[in-house]
Amino acid sequence: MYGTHDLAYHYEREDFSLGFEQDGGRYCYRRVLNGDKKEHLLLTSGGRVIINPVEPLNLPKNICNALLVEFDHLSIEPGARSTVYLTFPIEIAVFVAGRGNLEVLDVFSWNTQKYTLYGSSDDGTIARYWKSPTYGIPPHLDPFKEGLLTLTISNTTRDWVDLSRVVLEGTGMKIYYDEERVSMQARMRLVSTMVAETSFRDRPFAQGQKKALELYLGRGIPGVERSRFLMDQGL
Amino acid sequence: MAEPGLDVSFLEAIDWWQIFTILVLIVGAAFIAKILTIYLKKALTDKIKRSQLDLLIKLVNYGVLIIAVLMILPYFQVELGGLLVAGGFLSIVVGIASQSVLGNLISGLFLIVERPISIGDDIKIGNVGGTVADLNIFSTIVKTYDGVYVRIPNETVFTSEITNYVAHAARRFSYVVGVPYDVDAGRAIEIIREVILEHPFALKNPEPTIYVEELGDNSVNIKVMIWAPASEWWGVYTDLLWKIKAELEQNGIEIPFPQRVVWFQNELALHKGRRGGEEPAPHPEPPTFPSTGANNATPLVPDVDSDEGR
Repeated sequence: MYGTHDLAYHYEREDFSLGFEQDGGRYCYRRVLNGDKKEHLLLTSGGRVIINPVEPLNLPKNICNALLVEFDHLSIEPGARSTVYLTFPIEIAVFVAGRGNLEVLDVFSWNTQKYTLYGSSDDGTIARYWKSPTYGIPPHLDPFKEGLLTLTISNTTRDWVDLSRVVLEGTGMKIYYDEERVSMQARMRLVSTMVAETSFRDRPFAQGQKKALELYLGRGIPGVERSRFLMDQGL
Repeated sequence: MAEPGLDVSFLEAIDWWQIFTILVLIVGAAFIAKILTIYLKKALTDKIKRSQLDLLIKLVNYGVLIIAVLMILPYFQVELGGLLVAGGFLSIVVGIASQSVLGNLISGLFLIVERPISIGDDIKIGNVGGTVADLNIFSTIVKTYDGVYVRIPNETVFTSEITNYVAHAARRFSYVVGVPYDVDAGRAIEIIREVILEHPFALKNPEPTIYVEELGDNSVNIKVMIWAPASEWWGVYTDLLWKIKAELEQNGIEIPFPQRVVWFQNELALHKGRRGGEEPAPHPEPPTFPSTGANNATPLVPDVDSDEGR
């Protein structure tokens, strides 16, 4: 399903269907997922449709710019640098491209959404919540439901650091995909036992993966957008 | 004809070219301000909040205005040093003459510095509740939840108690849910917790708090406290209340109406009165009630499976 297709595209699997129906000079987009329906009318002479995973911060509606992934409690030794494999929720966007411009038609997901507060109510941040197992090797995941988050943790302190969550800024997420896997690579630099800075690596997990169109890149202000998140309210 | 004491001799030194230049500066400033406003709206409408955009446009417009005034003043032979002195005296005179206006202005400046509210915030100032539509230098404009325009002088805003419902990222709200006495309250709490956990905007952390708060007259009262994003709390509040009620009912737990068990101390007998022309009604069978006498009275157990007493 992921990739670029002609407007007359149609895809169907269990409890899910997506497609465009041509009716004269217009197209009707229809998507059904577990009984949830979405329709959109397009007045276009033609174009392309792009379907790819996007930043998982849009459903049921966009209320925040951060993703909090909670994982099994772990400790990292002083000065160490280690990589763990986590998962992140997949939200899929349908774009229509025509005359050099893009329009988001639909965003949907197989996952349920949950939000949380990182930090205190007066100084904290609302974030999308996701609970992930911690893997030592990359797991096989359903690319329509879960993505692979490769998290490289660097402990720059002289202490052991305990951590069980990572908060990632929505602006700056770099998602890559192919038919087998959706991936994202992030760094977590521990600057004290209570503070860390997170950022992204703009590279695919495997060769041949395509970079996903980003929703949040367009929303950011050039030169002003944040792509790092400072976790200063606990790890 | 100039008034005595008002020296307008500098006007004689202004030639047509300078008047043209001043006009060009005024028109140019207005044009630039307009262009910048349009450009900012086009470029940033979908990138930053509406309130931030309005503030930015205001700052840009005022900036252009101040630059234009500073460029025009030398043509009128006004030195900025002298302007400051004259401005000082003028401000004293104007201040005395218009204390309330000045009070509003200063309050407005303090509000801008302190920033207890921003455009778009849900607030309550005194008795006025609504959304902040605009923050001006003299007044604050509130659009009430009924859509009514309310202008509050800044002095009033500054000296009033201000409640800002969205100043923090998250806020808590609560319900009291009554369940019948013969229902397992622990089971009811579990059902309520599951409903809350399923709602995307009922925050995972801080966790909801659910406990038996009171053994009430008619029900066991369960207190439910939920945290939600400040921007979404009202939607969550209205959505969850009904879902909790529906889910409890689906699990056979009905929220009880007020009910009261009544014991009759004396035996009762019902007699139907005889009206004019009516035949006397036959005496009904005596109803069965608990036997009289306080010593051997037993309470009636309310039939919670039927609709009686609800």
